[in-house]
Amino acid sequence: MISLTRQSKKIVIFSSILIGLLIISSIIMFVFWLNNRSGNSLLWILIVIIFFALISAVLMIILIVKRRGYSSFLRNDYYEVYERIAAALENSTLSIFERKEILLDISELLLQAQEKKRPVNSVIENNIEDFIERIKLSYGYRNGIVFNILSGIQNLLFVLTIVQAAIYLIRNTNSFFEVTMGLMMLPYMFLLSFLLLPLLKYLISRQKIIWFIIALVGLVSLFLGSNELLRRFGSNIAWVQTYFEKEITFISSWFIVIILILVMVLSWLAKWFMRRQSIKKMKAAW
Amino acid sequence: MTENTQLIRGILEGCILALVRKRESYGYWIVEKLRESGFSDIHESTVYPILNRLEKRGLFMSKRKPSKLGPPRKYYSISNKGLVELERFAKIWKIIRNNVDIILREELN
Repeated sequence: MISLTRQSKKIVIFSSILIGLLIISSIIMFVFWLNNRSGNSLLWILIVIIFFALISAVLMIILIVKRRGYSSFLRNDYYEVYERIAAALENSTLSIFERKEILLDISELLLQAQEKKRPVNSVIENNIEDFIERIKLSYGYRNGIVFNILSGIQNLLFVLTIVQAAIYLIRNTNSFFEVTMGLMMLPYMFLLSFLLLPLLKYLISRQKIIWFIIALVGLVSLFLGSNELLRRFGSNIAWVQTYFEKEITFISSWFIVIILILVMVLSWLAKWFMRRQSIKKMKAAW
Repeated sequence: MTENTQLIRGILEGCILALVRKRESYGYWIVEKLRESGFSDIHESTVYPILNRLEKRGLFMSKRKPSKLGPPRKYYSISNKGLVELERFAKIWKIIRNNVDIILREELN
């Protein structure tokens, strides 16, 4: 019998529900397509969605069941602490290399304690959040707001490209640069990049899985609901009409592609520079 | 003793620099040494961020060596910058200790 931590069990259950819902809705869409047969592209999209949903379900279970690296030597009570630390580090200004280094050190500390038969709370105090904060500060002060804005910009560029690519595939347009989408997509993409994704990342880092689902469903419903209200009661207002009817192309040429790549690289460089500066500016604690 | 106060952490930084001065050391050994020296309620979770900070500030150098437990163990050794900082700490500590002693002697006797 595979022994999972309580947190892993919760993640498996809720992710399975989400993937299940995705598959069910895809099947409903497929049945709808069978009745209407309105183009082959929809069928292919459905097949791709179901394929990726199944692959992600399998990968998710493998990732949770198969503990990676040295943490696999840890007993459940030690692994639970390791898992909490790993999740909390995900939502930080630390780079992937810094996080990997910390987790390697933590697994060594925990294994040593396990070997000496010391209880886990004698190694890491009960206040894990405070421990994480002190680890973050050991890399110097980093302005979280600026990091979040830079990450938001990166998210936005990523979302923009994915959405345009998806519409290109669905509509089967001649050229990627001719793809148009509703102006109303723009606030949605901003909301997703600067609010929803960081919020979800924060909730995952705090292992608040139920709140994660509530926030996801709540924010999407709020956005769709407010749009629907606007459409119903504000259709006479000029800007509301423009908001719903105007079609625009975001990535319209190679020039824009180059600009987007430049922005992406610059935001990465800014993060790298800020990390370097925070370490350089550290002073003695006495 | 509240081990996480800024004062204690500052003092611990100096003590850890002193412990690592003579020999290459690893986290667990440093925690044990601190406990033996009277910091009996010290946790690894207090010492680890300090070690990390000292390393990032360039006061320690680190090297990973294989360990039978699994993950390669990180060994710390003091750098020249660390030696200068240790000397500075020792001087400041002497002044603080003398000042506190004078006040306590005058006020408590």
